Amino acid sequence: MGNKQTIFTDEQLDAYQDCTFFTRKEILRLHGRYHELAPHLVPMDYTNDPDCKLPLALIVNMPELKENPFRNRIVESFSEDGMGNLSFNEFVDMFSVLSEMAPRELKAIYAFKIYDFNVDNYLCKEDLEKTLNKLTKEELTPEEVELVCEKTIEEADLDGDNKLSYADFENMISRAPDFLSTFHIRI
Amino acid sequence: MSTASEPWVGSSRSLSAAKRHKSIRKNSRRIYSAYQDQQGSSDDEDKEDERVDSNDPEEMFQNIQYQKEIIANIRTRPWPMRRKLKVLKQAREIVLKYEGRLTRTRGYQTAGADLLKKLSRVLYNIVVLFIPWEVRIKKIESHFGSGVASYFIFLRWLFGINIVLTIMTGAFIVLPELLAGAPFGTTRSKTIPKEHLASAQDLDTIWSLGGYLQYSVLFYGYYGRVRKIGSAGYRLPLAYFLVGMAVFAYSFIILLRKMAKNSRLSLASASDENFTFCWRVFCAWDYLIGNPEAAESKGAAIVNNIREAIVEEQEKKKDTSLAVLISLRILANILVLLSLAGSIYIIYFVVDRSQKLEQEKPELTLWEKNEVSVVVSLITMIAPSAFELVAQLEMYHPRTSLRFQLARVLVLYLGNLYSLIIALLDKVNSMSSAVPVSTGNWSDSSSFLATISQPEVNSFSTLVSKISVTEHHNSTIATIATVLEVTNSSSSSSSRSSSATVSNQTALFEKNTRSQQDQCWETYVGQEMLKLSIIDMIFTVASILLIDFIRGLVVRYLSDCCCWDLESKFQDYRLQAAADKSWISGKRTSPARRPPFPSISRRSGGVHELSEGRRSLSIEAAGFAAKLRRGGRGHTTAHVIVQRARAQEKAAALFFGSRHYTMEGGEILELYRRSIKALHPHDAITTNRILTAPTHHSNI
Repeated sequence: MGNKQTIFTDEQLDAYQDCTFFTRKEILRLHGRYHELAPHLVPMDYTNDPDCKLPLALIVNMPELKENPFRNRIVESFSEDGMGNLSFNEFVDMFSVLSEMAPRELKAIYAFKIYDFNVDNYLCKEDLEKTLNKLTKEELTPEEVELVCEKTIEEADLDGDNKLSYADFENMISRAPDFLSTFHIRI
Repeated sequence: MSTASEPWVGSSRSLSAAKRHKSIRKNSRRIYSAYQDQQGSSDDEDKEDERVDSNDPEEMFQNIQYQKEIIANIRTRPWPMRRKLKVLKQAREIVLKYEGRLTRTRGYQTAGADLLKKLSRVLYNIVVLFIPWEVRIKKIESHFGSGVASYFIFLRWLFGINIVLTIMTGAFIVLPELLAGAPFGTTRSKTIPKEHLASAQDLDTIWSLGGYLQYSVLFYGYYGRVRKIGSAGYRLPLAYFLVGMAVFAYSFIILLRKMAKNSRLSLASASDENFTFCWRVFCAWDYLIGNPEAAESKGAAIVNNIREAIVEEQEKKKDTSLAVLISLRILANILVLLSLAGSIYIIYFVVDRSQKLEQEKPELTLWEKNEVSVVVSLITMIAPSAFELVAQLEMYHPRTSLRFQLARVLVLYLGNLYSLIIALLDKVNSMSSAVPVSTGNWSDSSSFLATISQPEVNSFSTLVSKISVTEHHNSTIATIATVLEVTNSSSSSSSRSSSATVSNQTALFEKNTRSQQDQCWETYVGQEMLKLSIIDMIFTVASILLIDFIRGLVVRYLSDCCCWDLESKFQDYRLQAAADKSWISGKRTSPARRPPFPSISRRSGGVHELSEGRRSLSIEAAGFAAKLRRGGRGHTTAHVIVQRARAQEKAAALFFGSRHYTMEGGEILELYRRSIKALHPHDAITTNRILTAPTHHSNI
């Protein structure tokens, strides 16, 4: 297309366009955002695939994520090492999944990952409690938390193992009318 | 932790080439079950590519298609980016490597298909440019949420329908008449009688649709009675009939189609599955929020939301005594029936009175002339709110009470309309019977159809009246079959197709001195209906401007002065009226002391949608909670919260600083969908913009 950018090769940009829901322009803009998080760490030239990861602390301070109670979990779910260090690939991936063009199923998968605090592929009671506490910033009394978690599991658990597997979660979230619009970050 | 993330990082299994061929279909189906998907590429995939049977073009072709499919779908896979890139690279290589070997025809075939896809995409992009108001609606959506935007999308859709109807009517009736009909002034029905000529341009006459408007293509009295007009012999009367039928059929079919499409896509089967708590936990947080104050208020809202749910849950356990409940419900129903009967009677009475007035006084005041329309409009505005109040007695689940409300308002509208028509007919009857019988100018006894289509503000009603003129001189027997489709169109901006076509054969009298007898009674009825539309529109605009706006201002600025909790009281009222709109943008101030916000840049997620969806309004509760916090743990029982929640489950908007948060009346929308129009409950922004059923503002 005759762009003069030298950050990525054309192939890389095409690959990003195919692997995410972003367009060329948006990917370049994302790179700008990634770069400004740590200008001295992030190279401007990505043509040789530099291996550069930004720590969790930098990413969760982005204005889009700052107020989100689940920001740590979000970043951890998209990082390969599980500790929240994101390379640019993962950074783009994260925002792609959370963009409005991502399909419901994909979002559901990642939502499940986000709410699964102990990463055991199930949403057990503790996960729910943590979710709730993060959500309400600990304003609910323990009894209320207890009640809500119980009710949640009761409502959604289909196989009766007292925790929510992905299938349970997916079944429940697919019927939620506002899931798509809330699980959406615009960048 | 690292072992736990295994499934998503490397893969344990790799696809064998043979498997690939056989499992093309299986894989495409498995795209979305990818959570358990262990498939992926590994490093030895390259080697396996070599095992592909390169001699079989069919298999090669299939393989290439498969790889292309992988490429197309790779972005929907929940794999880490690294794996996606790798798979993509390999798929691309395969495609490149083998594509050259294919025979030409296959290549062209797929190339053709690709080109077609590209073309259609480009075409679609161009077409989208022409959709009116697209940019505006997107803006609204980004500020206020998709619920609000869907209201406007609905209006746009209605507008489209009206345009089509206007074109139909215009093209088949108006145009031929303009082109080929006898020019103005020639036949009797086309001239303004001398005595009216002087006043024909008065504002008064124009307002009551007399004068030039009356003797124009708008009203049926204009159209001649000849079977064919013009040199080509266009059958105008037939055209009337058919256009009337076509208009009706078209609107009916299009409604059905929309409903079907939406019900197919509608996800929530509201009654059966109840995931209240789940949704309140998992879908509550709006990830778009980037502003600390907004986050705080949202957090408070969520807390209250959850508390309400808890209280409701606990209340379910205790129940009010059955006897009291039933008696209250009976009482409520009796009240509603009484008011329905009352409204019907009032309308009849008013029309009757206007007739008497016309007979007695030669000159009528403005009020008296428009009395009928004003009364009808007032009733349609006020009655649904009254119904809502009464419904509080019944203590139903909000969903059920919503259904009742819908049913009652529907009956109210139907009743009003029927009553209006019957009263008008009576009037016409008595008018025509009062005329001295003149020498048979009662031409033929063919029947004509009068179609009055007016997608007016509160009802999109298509009246089809069939009038059969008998040979009987003294009476005109008319049977009217009224078909009503009450759509939830509201807002003052609905367009109106201004065709009120009325046919008449009988009212060609020779001598009369009174103006009414000079006109067709159908024209008269048309005039009345049109006046009704206009006045209704005026009322809607006025109510929005005066009531909503001023009250918003008052609540916003004066609630500081008034110790009494203006917000909550007006919230109730607001929601009563607003519940009638599926979109409510009542204005409420936040706990007053907050400073207004600077506008948030889009970049930081300035789109604040609080789509609480169909749950109760937590924003109001948030305001509440914030007040509590401010006022040092003031005293509100959970019960009060629940009461409010019940009463205000429809929707609310919080005016917080300088920004609007809008809640969607998802509940209402959904039900509306089912009952009258189908809507897309789904909040998916890009797809289906089906419109909610924003109704006339005084009913739901």
